[in-house]
Amino acid sequence: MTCKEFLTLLDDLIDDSVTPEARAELQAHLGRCKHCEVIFNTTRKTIEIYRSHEVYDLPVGLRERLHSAIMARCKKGC
Amino acid sequence: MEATKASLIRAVRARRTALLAVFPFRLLGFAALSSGGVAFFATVLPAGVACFAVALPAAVGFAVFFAAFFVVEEAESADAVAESPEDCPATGSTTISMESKPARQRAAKRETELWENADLISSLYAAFDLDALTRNHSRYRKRRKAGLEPLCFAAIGTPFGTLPRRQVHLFTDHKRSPQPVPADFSHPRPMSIIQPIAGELEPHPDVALIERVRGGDVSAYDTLVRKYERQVFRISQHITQNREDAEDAMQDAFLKAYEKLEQFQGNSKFYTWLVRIAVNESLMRLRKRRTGKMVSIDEDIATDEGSVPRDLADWAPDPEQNYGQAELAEILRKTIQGLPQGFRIVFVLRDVEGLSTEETAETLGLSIPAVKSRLLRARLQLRERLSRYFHKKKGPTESRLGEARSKK
Repeated sequence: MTCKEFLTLLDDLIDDSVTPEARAELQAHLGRCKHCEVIFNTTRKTIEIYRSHEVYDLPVGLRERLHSAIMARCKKGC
Repeated sequence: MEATKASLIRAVRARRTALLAVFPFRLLGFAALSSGGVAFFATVLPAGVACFAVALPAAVGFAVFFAAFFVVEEAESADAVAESPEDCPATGSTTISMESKPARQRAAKRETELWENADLISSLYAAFDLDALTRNHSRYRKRRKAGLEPLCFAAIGTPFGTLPRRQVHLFTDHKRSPQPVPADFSHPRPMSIIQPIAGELEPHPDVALIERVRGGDVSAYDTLVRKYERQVFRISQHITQNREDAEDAMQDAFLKAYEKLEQFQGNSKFYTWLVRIAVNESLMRLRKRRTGKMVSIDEDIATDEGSVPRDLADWAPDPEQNYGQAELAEILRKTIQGLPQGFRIVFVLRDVEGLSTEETAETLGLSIPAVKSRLLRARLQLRERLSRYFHKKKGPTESRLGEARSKK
């Protein structure tokens, strides 16, 4: 397996949607290729960081304000 | 799987070679034919001897032109023969209009194999951005310039000839497929899904809430708003990149969802339906802010940056811990804001908000291969950009070790 082929299936490996045979091949490539190993680990880490950190948090004050606005309009039947 | 992939690549390459080989003949034939035509009109009045000079190139032209077509036809029918299921399951024709029974059986078998390999084919097609290529030749040329290998060159309409697009349609629109997806076809799943997938017999908790809202219970809608307000706000903020617009888009999205709740069919999740409304509202705000300029999820998509990883240095373990929370949030914001709009939305919906590939495609009106292709590039670009902050500081021993391993 070449690095290019590995990259083609990188997403599927990250999303865990590969067949056991393909996984074995991908992992064998990872064992041989330091570069792909770095790309795989850091890409996974990138997703994990974005998933676990609030980039845009909804402030409490704003939340309540929006909430009452939505509810007031809905009660009026929009 | 490797064998399947290799046979797919072989078959596509063979088609490309056949078409490229025939192209000069087509051109020659066409040139001769047209020169004959021009000569005919130029000499039609002073006929006599000139007639002979006219008739010769025209006849040669006709002969070469049709011979070239004949060769293409031959090449294509040879392809069809070569496409036995074992040889090339992936590019098999999908029309089952052949007359003989064995041929029909072969076609049906090919169809099944096609679906069994759909994941692989779809990722191959996505990696080479076939979806974009079918729509836009200039984009294809740009890619070619950038040195990307056009694997599926001959499988699409090209200046050198056109092959049936039916194979392409199979991957760009799974729903319109004439064949049902086999039960064991594994759909990709995101790493974690915000809502657990309810069993088929067990309705999603949102269904009961929606029923209550339909019965006039506003407090049930209140529950739904509280449940999804953070996600909707994040999506709006990622698209508009402006606090004020995000607030407005979020408010309008919830109001519109309430208004249109009667239209909600219940065949998709309420959350994905709501996200679709929020995406549309956010794009509308963005459009208003940039009056006169078209805004779409395709914006800035042409850039090839990040499709080939360049920064290969490893990160420190838990690199985010080297930054304070506010500082980290700023880095993450800045990094994702730099991503082209079309990549950013796909990444946010798919990876941050946990929609599946199919749901993301449906929400954004994109094909599944397009979502996959954008997701891969979004992930790689973000990784590349974050590397600037999360680099491991290399010690001399470690860097030598790294070099030694990469040389292996």
